[in-house]
Amino acid sequence: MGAMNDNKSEPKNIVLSKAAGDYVAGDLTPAERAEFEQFLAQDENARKDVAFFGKLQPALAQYKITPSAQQFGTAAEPLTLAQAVHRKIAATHGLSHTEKRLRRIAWSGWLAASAALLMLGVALGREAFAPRPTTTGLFPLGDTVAFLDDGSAVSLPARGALMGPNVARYYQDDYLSTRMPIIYEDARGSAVTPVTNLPAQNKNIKGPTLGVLIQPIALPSKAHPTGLLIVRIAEHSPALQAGLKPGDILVKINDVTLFSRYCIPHCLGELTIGDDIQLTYYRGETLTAHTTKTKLGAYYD
Amino acid sequence: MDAQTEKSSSGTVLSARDLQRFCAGDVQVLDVLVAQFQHVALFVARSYVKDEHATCDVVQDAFVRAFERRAQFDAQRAFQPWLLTIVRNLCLDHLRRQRGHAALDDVTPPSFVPQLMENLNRDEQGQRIASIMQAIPEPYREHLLLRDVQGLSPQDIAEVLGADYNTTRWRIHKARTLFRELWVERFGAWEP
Repeated sequence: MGAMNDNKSEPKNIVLSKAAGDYVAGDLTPAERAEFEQFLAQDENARKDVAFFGKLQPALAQYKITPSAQQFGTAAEPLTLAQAVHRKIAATHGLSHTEKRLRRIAWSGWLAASAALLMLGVALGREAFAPRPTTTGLFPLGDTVAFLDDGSAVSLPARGALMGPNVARYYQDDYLSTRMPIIYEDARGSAVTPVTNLPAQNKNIKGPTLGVLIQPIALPSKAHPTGLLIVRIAEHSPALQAGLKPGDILVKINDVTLFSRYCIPHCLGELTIGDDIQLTYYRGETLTAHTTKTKLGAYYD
Repeated sequence: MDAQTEKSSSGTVLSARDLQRFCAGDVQVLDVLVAQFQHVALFVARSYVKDEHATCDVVQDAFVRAFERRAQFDAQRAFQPWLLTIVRNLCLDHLRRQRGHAALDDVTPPSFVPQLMENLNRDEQGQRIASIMQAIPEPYREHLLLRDVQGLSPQDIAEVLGADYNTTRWRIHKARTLFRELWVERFGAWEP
């Protein structure tokens, strides 16, 4: 066996001049065969060899061992090999008709259940990720703080949010209602409660003022992406005299665009009491700009 | 071997369609396969496993395993070498189990020579052939016996002996050359 494993020293190419036996047995590759046939046409000895092997090989094949057909199975139940193989495969892999049916039912049930789950998932996902109906009006930036037009803040622990143009009410809030009446506002400007005083701590303000409580909000407008929603208006204030109402959204004072709550004190600081100003604001759903003129006043005095 | 039809030792022909049916898991094709390949499988298994009962088990298991692993079989190739590989592996498993899980190296490789040589001695012509065969050294004698007496293809022989295909081809070639030389030296021209 050592000789068999030690095959590195053995050549791998068949010697064509001695390949008659391989030729007769059909062991040559098509290329080798063609080459040998060319060689055969020239060589007399090769033809003798072919004749030799042509006789030898059928003679050798007579001594082939054909093992007798075995008896498989038990002595009581003799089987052929094919029967024994079938029986073994059936025992390990075969399923009865009922088992096949049950398995098919289980599979189809499983498939149906997963399909149903998938569809449910798709439906829920579609629900969850469906685009919300876009609101065309107002969007809160942060509805817990409102700002006076001098830049100071008033905390609004609000429970409601500003949800679109049809705002039923802004803030229904016990804390504020003790100081200011609750303002109800719908988009059409109806049902607005009378405007009242601003908190007492702002009464000492000197200098020009509008007399409004504002809330910065985002607007669906490219020209004015941010506006200042008027939440409250003080009595006798310049804003009231200019015809502003709670729910209006200030976007400009003179030519200054109001993009932040600090824009109002900054803008008013440039002016003195008694100056004319132009206010640009949106009112209602149509969001058209209104321009008005008023005189700034230190109404707190 | 031709991929379209495969001729076995029993002379029946296995069609490519049969092999496709086998790959598709058709149990009925096993009848054809068993009828065609049981003799060669038994011959190989008996050379490894001396026990008659164990030989039957190994051959039966080989067909079952061939069916189980039909996914690994390439229908474009010959079935017999593939089956003989399975037979050989099962025989080695059996011998290993017998020897208490010893390493494969401890398992003596089988020799096909004794039973083939014994069969040659049954008549006068066979005895003349056997006398030449005796003079051919191993491993060439075994290759020649398996190829020209038993009719296994070079590929089959490579599988059952666990050898390289090209080496096997060359050894058969060498054995034939030696046989021719020795025969001419001893008996002259071929006279049956």
